[in-house]
Amino acid sequence: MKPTLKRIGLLTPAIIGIGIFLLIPLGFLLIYSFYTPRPLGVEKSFTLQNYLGIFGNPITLDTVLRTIRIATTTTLLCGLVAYPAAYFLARKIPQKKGLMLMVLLVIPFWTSSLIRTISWLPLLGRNGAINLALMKVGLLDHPLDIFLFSEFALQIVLIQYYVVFMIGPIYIFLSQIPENLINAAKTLGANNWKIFVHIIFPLSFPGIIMGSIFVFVLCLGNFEVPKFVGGIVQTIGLVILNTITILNWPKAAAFSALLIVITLMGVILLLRMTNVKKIFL
Amino acid sequence: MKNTPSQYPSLPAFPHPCVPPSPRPHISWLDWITGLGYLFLYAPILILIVFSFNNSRFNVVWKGFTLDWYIKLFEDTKILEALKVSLIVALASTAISLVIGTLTAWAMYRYSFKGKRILEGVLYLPIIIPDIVMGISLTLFFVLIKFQLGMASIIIAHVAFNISFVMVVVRARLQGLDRTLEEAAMDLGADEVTTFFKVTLPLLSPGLIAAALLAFTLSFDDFVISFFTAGVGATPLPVQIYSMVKLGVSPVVNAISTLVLIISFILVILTEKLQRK
Repeated sequence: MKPTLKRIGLLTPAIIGIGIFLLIPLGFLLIYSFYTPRPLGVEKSFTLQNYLGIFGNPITLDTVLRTIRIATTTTLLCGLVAYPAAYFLARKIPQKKGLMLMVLLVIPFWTSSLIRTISWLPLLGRNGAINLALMKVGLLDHPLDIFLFSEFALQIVLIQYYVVFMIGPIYIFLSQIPENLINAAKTLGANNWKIFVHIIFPLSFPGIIMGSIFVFVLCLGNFEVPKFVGGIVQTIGLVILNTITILNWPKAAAFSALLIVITLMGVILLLRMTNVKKIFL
Repeated sequence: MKNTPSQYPSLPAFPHPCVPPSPRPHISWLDWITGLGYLFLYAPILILIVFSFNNSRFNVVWKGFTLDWYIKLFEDTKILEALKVSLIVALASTAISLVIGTLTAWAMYRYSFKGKRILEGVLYLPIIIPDIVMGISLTLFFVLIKFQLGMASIIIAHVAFNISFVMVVVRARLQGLDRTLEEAAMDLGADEVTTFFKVTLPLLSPGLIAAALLAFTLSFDDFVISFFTAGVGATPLPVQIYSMVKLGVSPVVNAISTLVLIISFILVILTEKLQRK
């Protein structure tokens, strides 16, 4: 077989799979975002109303900005939580043990994401563990509601949801750092801090970026967490869900298009912070 | 001049880089952070497990031990059916995407051609397109081409996003592969296909297992895309749980999650054992 033929043969399934079941549907969605919504259907006439409705309305505009803010803070906090843990797993304990602990980390993800949201309710609720503990210590004299159905709760649960997606890539990059490199630095007289700043951190940075892309993207579209613990906090995902429920496809499509634009902007921004080849090639 | 090392007076005791540092008995702040991280991940889940044995309808206080919720669970045909759907979808989409993803990763690693960078971007798209957008665009697509929503549509949707994840994991493994081993095999007369199956594939196997585990997890755990592409034909477990939770959290939900957790734990340990062989 000629290499060209082989290449085409090997790549066809992926191109068909992703082309037909991702690109074409996205194209349809984009077209729909310019249609006119009618009760229980659409009228196939071009309009910009769906987009103007998003930017002209201060409430929806606020939702868009809030979604971006929540995704950004979740990404940052996940990074802060994940890096030390990944460092511990990759460099502080034997490789076998580290791998096992990584597996342990992934196991909670076999429960449905919904379950993980629900499982926070007994902790964060009015009669939940946090309120009870704070009252026992004497910091509170009556239970607070802010731990549940608030942006605080949303934030906590999102971190728990996605921190693994940050730990994984950082772990991979940290464990691939060749031991010789560190030994060489030691031989040349570098102390632990210098080794970290000049060798370990830069070499693991692509992992941080990769994890940040995962977390940021996953946060943007999430709607089940705000639905169950966010209270009245609205996010784009939730708005899309609600618009679909009332069968307003064009408006949901416009919000989706906006979500894609925000996602791509975020990803491009993150990728510019590192050498792309280090992540994907 | 005879330069034997013994001529030098006491050499400074230089720590040999290969000698591991002696284990420190004290617990460092890194251990603490990692421990707290695990606690953060596991605490809600442990509480959930405990409450699945709680003799009370409410998830707030402990009233005593019971197995009632598990008995109720095995009488609930809807949940069992949903579990079956989820397992079929996860297995099918993992198998399909593992084959497609591995072939793609290998082709992208091996060959360079025109438009490779564009194709690359497209192949990574499912990772960066938010779930909800993928979910509703696929639903719109299936409805427009009049494809019956059900098990098949969920499997297709899951394959569409799993291909990319498999590709990323396998490719990372390929990148770390020692090319000289493949070359040696070819020098010894093996053709490309034989080399792939006898040399590349075994070397790749840890990556393949990792990719399969990831794909299975993503598919089995997926709620958003299943929620939109399921229709009325088939209900996977997360979607079934969603409809149950909307009416309030029942301890039966805790029981099913506990069971799923235990089953996956066993699966993961088995995979570990297999990998070691």
